[in-house]
Amino acid sequence: MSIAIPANIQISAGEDADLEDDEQTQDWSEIAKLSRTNEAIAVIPKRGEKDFEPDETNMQELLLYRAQKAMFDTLTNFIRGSIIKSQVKAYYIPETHLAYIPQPRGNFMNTMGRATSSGDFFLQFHEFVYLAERGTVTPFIKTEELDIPLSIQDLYVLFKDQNELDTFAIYAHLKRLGFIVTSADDTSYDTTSFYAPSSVCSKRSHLQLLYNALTGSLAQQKISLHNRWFFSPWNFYFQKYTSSPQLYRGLNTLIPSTNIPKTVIDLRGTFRDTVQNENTDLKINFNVWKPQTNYKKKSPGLPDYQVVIYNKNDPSSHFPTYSEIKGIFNSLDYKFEFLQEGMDWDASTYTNGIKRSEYLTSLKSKAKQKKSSDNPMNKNVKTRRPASSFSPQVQQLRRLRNGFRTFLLAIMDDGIISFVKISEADFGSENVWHSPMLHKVRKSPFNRNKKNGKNVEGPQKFSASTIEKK
Amino acid sequence: MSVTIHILLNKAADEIVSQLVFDVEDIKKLRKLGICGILMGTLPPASQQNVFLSVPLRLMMEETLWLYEKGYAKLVLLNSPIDANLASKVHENSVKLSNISVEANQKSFESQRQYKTEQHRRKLEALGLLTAENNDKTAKDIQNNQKLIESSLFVEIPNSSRILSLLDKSTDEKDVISKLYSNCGQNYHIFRDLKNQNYVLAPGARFGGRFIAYPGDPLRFHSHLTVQNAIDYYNDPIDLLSLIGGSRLGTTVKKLWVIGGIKSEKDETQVDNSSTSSFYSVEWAGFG
Repeated sequence: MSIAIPANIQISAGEDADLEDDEQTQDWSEIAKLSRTNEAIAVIPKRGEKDFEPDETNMQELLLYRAQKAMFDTLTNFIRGSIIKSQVKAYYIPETHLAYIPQPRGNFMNTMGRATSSGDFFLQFHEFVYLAERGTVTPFIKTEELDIPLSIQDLYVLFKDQNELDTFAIYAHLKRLGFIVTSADDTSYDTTSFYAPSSVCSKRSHLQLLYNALTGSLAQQKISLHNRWFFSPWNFYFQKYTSSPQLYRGLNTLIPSTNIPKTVIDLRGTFRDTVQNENTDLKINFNVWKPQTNYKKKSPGLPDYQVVIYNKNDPSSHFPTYSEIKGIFNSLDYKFEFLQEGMDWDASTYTNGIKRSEYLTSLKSKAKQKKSSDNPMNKNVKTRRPASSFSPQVQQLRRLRNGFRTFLLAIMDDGIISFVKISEADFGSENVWHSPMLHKVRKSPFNRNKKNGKNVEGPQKFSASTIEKK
Repeated sequence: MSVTIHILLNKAADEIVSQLVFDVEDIKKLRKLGICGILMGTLPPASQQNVFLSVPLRLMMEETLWLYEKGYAKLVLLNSPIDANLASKVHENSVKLSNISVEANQKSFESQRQYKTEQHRRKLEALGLLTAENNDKTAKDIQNNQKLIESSLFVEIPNSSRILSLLDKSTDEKDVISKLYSNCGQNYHIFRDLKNQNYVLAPGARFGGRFIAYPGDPLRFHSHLTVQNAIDYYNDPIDLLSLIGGSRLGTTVKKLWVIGGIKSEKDETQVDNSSTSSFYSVEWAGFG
């Protein structure tokens, strides 16, 4: 049945032959009936053809009329709700701004809401509105005796401010795409961090921390005598440039650049808790996981993405400044995809202050979170070609294009949501200049190098792969 | 023709929360006026996609202002946070509200029962099972069916509220309107002048502008213009780099890059169609 529907739609959109016969029953009414049985549409119809500009022909007006009619029929007929048998009642609680579900059931419980120790199930407000919009839960407000049903409008009016409304809209957008989303400030589950618990840090002496801070900031800026204090035309008297690669290397040292964290040690050194950046409204709003069947709500592990929200048209907000972006970068805590492939995340992350691998063994084996793609029996999984098997040039291009630490900036433009990926690129330590020397090395006979057990890369200090090893 | 727009005011932060429209009939009226807004709610049977969405409709501030100026908008102002206000009103009127919803549900259930029983009868007829001899049996079946039908009745979650009309409203409409004017700034003049030339405008950050402009309903027509933030016609400079960047971007997204300069401040209450701004469109010639 569901296959027949998109076919109907295509007919109604492309049917130009019998224009006089438009009084016939609308195909959209078939779908309208479906909505009463709450069946999902399997295939989403494509957006129709468009014209350049109005030409005042009847033909065009008819097409417009049809497009509008289809749209409004859909809006009128696709009603929200559920059948009595599968109705799940959710009650809004004004005091806590949460929703309470006395008899929770349904798939949404795997990824949303939380149960208290006494077994009561609560939804956060944005989860509540999202589920009510889908018809998965039916919203009510309780009085002493009666359950008063709430409308969608009531729910929207209950948003406290613009920020909460925008946050909800972006949450719903991501949920509709199938992602698993939690609020970054939700502490109801066992949070996992890439960074060792603070107890480890406090063991280090304050002096050492101070030292780290000083040297760290210098190293980060890559300030050298060359680029800050001694650069002048006189430079050329001290240094002779005899070949073009030398010239390029000279340029590299002239231009100051920021050293960005790329390894586990770098990352752990630069991490700052969000609490320290309180002078800005900008913060990480959502942790996002790719869709997965064995997601464990109680201890989901590190998220795949982190999302920051920004309302472009809000007069009180502004595009994040450099220091704000830097603050966000330093507080990111997700599965850094640029770290070595095949990294054992369980062994290098911390849940509740202990190593995640230890944490997981303390749970029942059933509770372990495993992707279906991790199953060795599953042969459909495509294994990705390891990045190291590509040529250094390709690897370099990828590093420049993908960058390192990354977050998603969700931009709200009066209802239209765009996601922008913001990441740190490292142009400073990549040798992007043309270097004839590099090509010479690649031509050199590999066999001899292999025999001696030497590094195939050769002596070039600036070859792309040495940077990764640092 | 008037459209009711509920506006939520957040007094604590002195902000006006986005204006939303919930009634499909109102959305239809707006569409006729060339105000399209952006739908932002999940469409129930197709709830895993973002292409086709449902009510509420989110309006731009400029759209609300234009509707208000033309006298189409009836503003209802609510002070946020509303939770306590709503809860107390619900308590006061619980019996009435409950009766209304029970009544509406009964009505809907009755028509659904009729529809489903009729469908079932037809199905049996079509299968040739509804003959005189096994009438008794089918009668029993129908009784069994009643139970199934009862559990499969559909409970609708309405879009529009029955409670909001009971709430205490804020009355400082003037304040809200002047706040909206100051939030839009000069961009409202741009919006109004293009709207008066029968363009349909939508938010345009995706294409590198404040608005994008369609020659007609976006359902049938491609947009032609990306309109930049307003500038002062006599005093503001135009950055050459952004001019080049913008026109090149315009070429890529097949739109003209449009700058509007405001020539004169018009009194906000004055409603006429005279233009206050001049527009220039920039195109990458790709010549030579």
